[in-house]
Amino acid sequence: MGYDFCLEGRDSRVTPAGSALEIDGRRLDASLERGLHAGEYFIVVDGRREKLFIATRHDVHFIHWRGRTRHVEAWNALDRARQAAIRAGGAEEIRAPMPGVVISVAIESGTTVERGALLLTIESMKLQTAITATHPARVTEVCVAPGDHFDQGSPLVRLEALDAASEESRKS
Amino acid sequence: MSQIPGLEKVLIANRGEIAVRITRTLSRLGIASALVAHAEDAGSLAAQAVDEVHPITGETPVSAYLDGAQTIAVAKRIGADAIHPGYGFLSENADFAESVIAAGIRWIGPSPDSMRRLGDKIESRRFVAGLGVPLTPSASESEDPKTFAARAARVGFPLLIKASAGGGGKGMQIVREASALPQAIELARSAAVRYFKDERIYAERYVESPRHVEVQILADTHGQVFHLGERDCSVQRRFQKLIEETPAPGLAPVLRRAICERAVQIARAADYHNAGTVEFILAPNGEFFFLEMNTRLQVEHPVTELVTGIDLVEQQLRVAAGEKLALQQETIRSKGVAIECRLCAEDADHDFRPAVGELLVFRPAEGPGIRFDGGIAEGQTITTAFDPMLAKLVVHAEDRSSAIRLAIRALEETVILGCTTNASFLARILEHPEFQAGRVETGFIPAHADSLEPASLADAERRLLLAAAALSNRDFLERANAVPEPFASMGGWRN
Repeated sequence: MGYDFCLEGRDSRVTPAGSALEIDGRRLDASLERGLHAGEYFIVVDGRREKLFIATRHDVHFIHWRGRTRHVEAWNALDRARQAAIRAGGAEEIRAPMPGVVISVAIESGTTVERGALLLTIESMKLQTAITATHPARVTEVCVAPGDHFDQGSPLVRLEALDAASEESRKS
Repeated sequence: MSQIPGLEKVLIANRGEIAVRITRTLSRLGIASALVAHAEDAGSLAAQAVDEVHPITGETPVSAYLDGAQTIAVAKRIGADAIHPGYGFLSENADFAESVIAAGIRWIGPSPDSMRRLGDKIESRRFVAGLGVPLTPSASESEDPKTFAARAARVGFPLLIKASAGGGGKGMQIVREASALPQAIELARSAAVRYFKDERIYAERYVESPRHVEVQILADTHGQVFHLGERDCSVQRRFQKLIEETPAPGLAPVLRRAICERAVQIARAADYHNAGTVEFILAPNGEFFFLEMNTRLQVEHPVTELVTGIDLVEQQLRVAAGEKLALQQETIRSKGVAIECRLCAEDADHDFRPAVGELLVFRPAEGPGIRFDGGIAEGQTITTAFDPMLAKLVVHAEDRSSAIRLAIRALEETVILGCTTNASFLARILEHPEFQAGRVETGFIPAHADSLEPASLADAERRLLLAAAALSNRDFLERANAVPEPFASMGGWRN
């Protein structure tokens, strides 16, 4: 049930523990409440209240706290599968990290997508998840259709990463 | 109703923060403001600040702003009385200035002749040498291309190979020994062609650990030439200024007077008018050498405005309108210390690579003594289409240590989320004991690279940030709330 977050190049696991959190095996009480201004929050950690600013986009949490800005990237099993696919080379395959069913498909073979674009929506473990592109790419093959059931490890979408140069020539 | 007769409407041939800044003064003086804007800038802060926006096009966004003919066509069509070129782009292009004037539009800057005489690196050095102003030893290629390499070597090492038509430190090569000279010459030449479309290069002795000290000049068309004091712009990275301040720390009054008077001498001899900046290299032994003159408003002009109380853009407009400036050298005083930090979309922790992203939250610091000159707005997406400078954070305080403290606080209080900036890097420079002691020189950043590295997070700090991220993460919260009883609790998940 843990969720991985990457901060300053290092991964940490955060797990809900009752009303508290367990971070890298250590329990702490934490709660978050909105402040007055957009993006302003107050976090109470182990009794200490601190002001911070948070904004989230595409699973990246930008946080301004005590005068410094950092970003924390959220990972989940799906992202791991994607990243593993990307590291394999230019042609990528997004494989299902667990069994489930396809709810909807937003793209087709030949579609070009930007970072963050929706590819498909699946349901696994009673939760719907949006599978999005992590970088500019062209869809080479959609391996499933709405309603299809899949096993862990089944290929869902095949992509070809687009680098900045080819994206530039595509735009002009 | 304009407060400057002859200037009812001014077209700004620029973008970003300087366009916003110029508009502020136009607005205050009751002058209508017009802007040319590429589609990328259509929804920008500057576009929203002016009275009218007119589209310009180009192969690239930058090329649109370099298309003088388009801009002049707009100016004529809308009945603009004058064009303000800002800095960069066409601001130092004498041909453009000439075309503007030929079209019957006032040019807010010096005459095209003085732009040519002083804006060209080789020409200006020749001119200034004739006045007896000290220069660093140099050799220009065009004098005799065949002997250039040999004459360059005689300039003495270390030396710089620079583009003659260049500016802003682009494409310069440092050469420390003779064996590296041929390759550096080729690299500098191709950079000169690429950035300035002009292959002329020259070699100049490189003074080690120099300070970059420049003087703000203001001259009108009635023979008056003033200086508004000096600025120290030594803290640079790859020849790009990052932090500027006035007065120059630790500069002896007699040396300050000598440098400022040399700048006035040069401007007067060149029959210069409007605003300009004369740049000098100050050697550790107190010798100073003419570097170049920028025939336009400078990026860092706000520090001078804060300590003198003089609006430089207003003075520029008055000079362009033919007014006799109501200033007196004896009464131009500098009060307190002003420091400017250039906020850039760069990741200082990863080799300063350009950063992009949507500005999800943008809250500039504010309060007494803080001036934020930015061209950005919340919701805007930062791309690599333009220069990475987002804004200038400028502070003014009674003395230097107060100004430094205020600048650090202002950097810490400025919230920019969604695009990485160099804010923390700037704060680390300001916190550095050598900077605090006023021991600045152009090699400051590389010299102190190790001690400018960011501190890593303590474990407790790390856990707080991770908790904040987790509690902001919808997926995490959904899964947490999906945990079946008796292990679930809604207690901690307020959102």
